Amino acid sequence: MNILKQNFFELFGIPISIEVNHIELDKKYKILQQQFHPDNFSNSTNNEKRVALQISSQINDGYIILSNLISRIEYILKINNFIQDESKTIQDAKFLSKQIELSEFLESIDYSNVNNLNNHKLEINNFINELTNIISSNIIDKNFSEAWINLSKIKFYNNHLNQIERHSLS
Amino acid sequence: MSLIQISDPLEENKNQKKFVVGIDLGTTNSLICSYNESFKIYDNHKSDVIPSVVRYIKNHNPLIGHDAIISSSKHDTVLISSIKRLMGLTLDEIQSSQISLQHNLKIHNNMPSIEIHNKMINAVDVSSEILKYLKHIAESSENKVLDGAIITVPAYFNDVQRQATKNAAKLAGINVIRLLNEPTAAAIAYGLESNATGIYIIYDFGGGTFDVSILSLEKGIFQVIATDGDTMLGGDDIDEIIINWLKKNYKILEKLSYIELKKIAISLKESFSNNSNSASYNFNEHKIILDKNIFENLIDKIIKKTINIVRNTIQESKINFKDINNIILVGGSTRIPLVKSFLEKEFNCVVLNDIDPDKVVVHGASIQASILSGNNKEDLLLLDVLPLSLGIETLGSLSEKIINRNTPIPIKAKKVFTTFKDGQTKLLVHIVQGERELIEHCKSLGKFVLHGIPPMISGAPRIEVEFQIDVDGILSVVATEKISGASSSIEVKPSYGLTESEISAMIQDANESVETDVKLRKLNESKVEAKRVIYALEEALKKDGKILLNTKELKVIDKELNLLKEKISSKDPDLINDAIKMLEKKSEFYVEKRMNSSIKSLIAGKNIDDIL
Repeated sequence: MNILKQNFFELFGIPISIEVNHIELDKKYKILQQQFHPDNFSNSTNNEKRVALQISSQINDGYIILSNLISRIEYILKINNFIQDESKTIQDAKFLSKQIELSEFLESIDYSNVNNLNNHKLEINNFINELTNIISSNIIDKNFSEAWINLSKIKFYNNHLNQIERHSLS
Repeated sequence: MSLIQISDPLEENKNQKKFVVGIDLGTTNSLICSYNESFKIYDNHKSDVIPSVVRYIKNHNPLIGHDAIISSSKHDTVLISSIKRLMGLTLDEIQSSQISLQHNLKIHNNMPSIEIHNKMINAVDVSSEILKYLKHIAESSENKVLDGAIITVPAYFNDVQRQATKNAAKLAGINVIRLLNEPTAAAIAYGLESNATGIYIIYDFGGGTFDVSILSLEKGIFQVIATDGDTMLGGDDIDEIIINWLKKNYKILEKLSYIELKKIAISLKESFSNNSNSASYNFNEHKIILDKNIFENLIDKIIKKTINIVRNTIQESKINFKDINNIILVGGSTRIPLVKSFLEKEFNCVVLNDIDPDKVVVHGASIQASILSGNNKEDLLLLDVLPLSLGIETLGSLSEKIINRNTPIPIKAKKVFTTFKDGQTKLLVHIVQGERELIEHCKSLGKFVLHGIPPMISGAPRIEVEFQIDVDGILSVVATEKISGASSSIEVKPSYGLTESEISAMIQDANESVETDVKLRKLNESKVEAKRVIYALEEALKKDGKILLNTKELKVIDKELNLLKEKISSKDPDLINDAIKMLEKKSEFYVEKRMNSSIKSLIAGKNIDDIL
């Protein structure tokens, strides 16, 4: 077994799953960095320094990917050797009308109405949660192409939330 | 008759404490400090802080710090201050910034320089003079040779500014253990002393730069969550505003030089630090008076700018305002009472300034130095982040981000490039740093050309470029050509600033030492390094060599080990270095195996509750 060739779930010693326990992930992250952070090797040989730098970078990379829902799902698809066909578009009339509805919402949005805005965000987050559950079973069924389509929908909702966030900041 | 016992020289060295320090290389003032159960700040004039000022005198060594300021000889001298603001900047960047310059800048060796007594001096040269002086006063106080130093930099410093700082240290003959971000250093000083846990904001407002970092502190672990700042915002800007006000309101001061005006401005500014309602300054029987109200109106815009940066950083880090435990004040400019009251009002939490804001950064750096050198066995883990996104130029002069800011470091990112035209054999990669979309609004870190791509149809070659950011926040790039199975790696050093050989040339130049001296030192360094490598490897082999390696593998390493032992008595440092490199190459798999086995015992098969 080689750390640099392990997948990130193995590296952090957690089960391969869409749901992660963030508190556990944080703890494992710190345990790993306490061992491998290059600062622990400032009096070591260049060889050890080099390897520590690689491993510590790997731990950070894994931490970032596993911490975030979208990158975590992408990563699970990747370790299942699923390669998406980028040219494929979503053929889903219901979702398309939802996309149009949300784009119109963005144009007419009233940022001063905080209550309304929060309800809207809650609704979008519920959509994301539903999709996450569906992807979970997609993956169990090894239906990766369906999982990928549902992930694209999550990405859309996530972008939508980011746009609202950016507007609220400015 | 008993035998005389002589200890193993290496063992003895191991028990000896190393002489290591923290250095706060500031815009206005610098400090150098060691930590050995208590802090020891080195100085020459009993004032702890050393002004970051260099006075170049014709046909003499330059004077630094207080000596430079009080020096009576005004003839044929040039005084340089606030050099940190120019570190790593191009001429264009300096000219388009708000920095007011007292000197004429010209380009020399690709760097903005000023001509002093027929020599071209750049920002790295000036900084290295300050560092040399700091090293000198610490060494003469301890009567020991300095083993290494941790140098602090603003968290918001980009790659070029960090490189420039490291180059200045190299030029001054200082072994840099690590660069440390100033707010992180301050957090160490506060956190380790008070055993603090929770979310802390470090508000670092210095002479030339403003930095903010949000950290999560728990026992021995300092995790930076987000960092932001402005490397062109500091006490210097406040002085500038006061100077303009003085010129407008006191016609008698019109004829004064910039340096004299600055002296008055600083004196007035500092009067407010002890909460007085007005400041006055006597100038040739005239009394200059600045009211607190007017002063606070003048600087209101600057303070608000810093508050806005803090607010944005909090929002971006997705932390709730109510989760913030404390705000910690760092840097001389936080002595202005308006800063504290503004922060308390805005964020409604306790603002701490119990450690002298001028010393807190150097205290933290000296603690870290003592831990990293092995003098101090305290557990400390620093998890810092990349302050500015790293990108590469794509079609349309846009920056495509490959590593986002606030990503934990060290970090590695890979990008695969291909050709645009049939038969193309060269590829230009332009690396930039910054948040803006357009290349011209980002800091250019360097351009490099990948040569020798086999001519193929466009889009066929695959060139993998690996971007590695180390713990100092400094980038290195390796490009690998992955065509027809043949992969070759090249190390690419960004083209800005100085190359390795230019630095060595400058060091030789500066020392003006006889060549044999340099050679002897090199030989000595190689021998020490060889001993270290042999010792570390033999210790490791004793522990787990037989478990992790088979007989054949053991033989290979043994052979190289013995070769190095033979070469160690050689008089040629290059021979020794080659043998070290060979041994390192042949034993690299073993080092990886050892780390792998330690990770297995760390995580595999264990429940999280068993570990914690």
